[in-house]
Amino acid sequence: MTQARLREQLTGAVQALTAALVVALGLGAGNSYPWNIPVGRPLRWIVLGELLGAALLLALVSRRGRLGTRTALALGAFLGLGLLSAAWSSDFGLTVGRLATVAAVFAVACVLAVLAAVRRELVEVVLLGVVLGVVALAVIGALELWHDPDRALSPATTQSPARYNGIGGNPNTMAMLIALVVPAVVWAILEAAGRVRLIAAVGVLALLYASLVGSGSRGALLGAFVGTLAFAFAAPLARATFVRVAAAAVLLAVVGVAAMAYPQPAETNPVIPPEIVPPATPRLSPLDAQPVLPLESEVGLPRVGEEPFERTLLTSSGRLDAWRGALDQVLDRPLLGYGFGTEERVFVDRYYLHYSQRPENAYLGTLLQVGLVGLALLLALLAAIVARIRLVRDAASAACAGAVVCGLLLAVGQSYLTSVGSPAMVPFWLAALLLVGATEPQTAERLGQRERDEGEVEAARGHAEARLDVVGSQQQGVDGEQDDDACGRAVSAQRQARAD
Amino acid sequence: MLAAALVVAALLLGLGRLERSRHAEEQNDGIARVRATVGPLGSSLSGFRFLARFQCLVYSRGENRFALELCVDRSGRIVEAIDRRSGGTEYWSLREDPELADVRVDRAEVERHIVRMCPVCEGIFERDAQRADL
Repeated sequence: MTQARLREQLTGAVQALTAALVVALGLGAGNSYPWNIPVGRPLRWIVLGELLGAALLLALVSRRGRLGTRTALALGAFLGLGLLSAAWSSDFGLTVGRLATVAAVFAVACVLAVLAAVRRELVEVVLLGVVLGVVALAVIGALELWHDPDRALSPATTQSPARYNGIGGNPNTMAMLIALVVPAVVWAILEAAGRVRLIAAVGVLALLYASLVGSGSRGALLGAFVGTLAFAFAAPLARATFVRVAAAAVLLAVVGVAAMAYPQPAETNPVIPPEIVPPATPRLSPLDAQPVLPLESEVGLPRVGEEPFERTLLTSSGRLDAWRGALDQVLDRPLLGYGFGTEERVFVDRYYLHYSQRPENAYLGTLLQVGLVGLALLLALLAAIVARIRLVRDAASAACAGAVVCGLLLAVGQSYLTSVGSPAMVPFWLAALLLVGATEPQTAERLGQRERDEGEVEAARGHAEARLDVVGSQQQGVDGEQDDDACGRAVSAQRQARAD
Repeated sequence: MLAAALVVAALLLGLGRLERSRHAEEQNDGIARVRATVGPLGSSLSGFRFLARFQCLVYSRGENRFALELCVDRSGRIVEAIDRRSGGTEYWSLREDPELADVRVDRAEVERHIVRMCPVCEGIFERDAQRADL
């Protein structure tokens, strides 16, 4: 087998395993038994290991570029701090385990990035793999809606209208994943060669956008919109195409907002089948405090006669309370936090409107885990990645840039950047590090240009100094002559004086 | 470069552990204050709370039925104390690091008080004890 053929086969394996990993992560975080916990959760680690193996093999038989120094340093320092944090972690085993999975994802993304630095088409291959995986999950979600609507929909309550889950554990899970790939699908529409491919790409966008809007996830809708705009700005598009993409993004966002505002909360809460949500533990005795003042809902618990909360487009769904509480906890261990990977173990949900084991903000989550030092390292890494957006020269890398911008926005409303189990984490870091890899030649070029410029400046400076020396020596000559003249005049004057 | 990295790592290690122990100290101080305010575990008891990881005793003060609360894990460590006397809620908690909780109570006494308020809880404690033995 020739090396070229081996490379092609391994590239295909990387694409297929990327798609499989996205599907396994989606199933693992889903609500469809037995595909979620018994199947999806172990499967995701197996597929991640296989993807790492395939990427390493591909790296062995391919030319490799480099990852930017700043990115590599920030990434190494962040992981190093995570490892060190095991020493002060609230849960040593959890920290080491979570770090191992995150390190595996970063390893895959870094290997693919150094390959993409010399082989730009790998970006397209991996992006297509991610999109395939997300489309597969969206199709499974639509099938679930047809087969078991009680599972595929979160029913309307007195607080919130009905929301589409698909196979997601909650309405936001798949919506985030979809938002990340919308820029890549827009790129696919622009690049589609032939009517069939164009119809297929538009169909994919319609399926994904309908799933996203149906979920009622406001953050995901905003992320998809901003990510698409970022793609349009970063991609080398003709002016007319740029205007068309931007206008389509605005139109889709407006339609999405209108569609999300339309469904209304129910007048009464639904009766949920016990096999979907087990009934709450009955009151153990009249002195049981939990039903009267639940510990997990104490903050914001409505008093008797108070108006019930209603979720609208602009309410925070309890996140602001949770963020304040998480910040209080951060301030207890501000510099280095409670240990990498311990976010949901440490965060205590005491908030009536907040239904999550995490504060649902990746930056606050990082503060909880590794403190200000860790957040500074993560932000340095993200800044090094974002700085690459201005170096983008092709549409596939621009799709990565769109995913990065979307992902950074999603991180404000969801804790997912350092949790591999969250389906959006792997696609985000793949896109981010592929962006770094794909723009590496431009940085090398810029570096070379800077060196050439500096060389030229140096040469010009040397030339100028040489000229100055020449001018200086000529000046000295003139001065010497002038001095000689003066001296001569003085001697003559002295002689004249003596003679007088 | 390597030497500098090792020095920074050692510094971070010391700092991280210091932060952890200082936080535990502050939380234990708060827990100890609430424990002292409660007095004997059986007096002014107004309720209980039965959660998977710990159980709580709730104490009244005046009209306030939920004024003070002590949450105790299976080893008798108070992992959380709550003071609601001022109208707001103040927490001291080591839920995330129960092994650092150093204010203890007699676990058997806690269970006795809970069973007095909740007869069905006796069966749950017995089942838990059997599971722990296994």
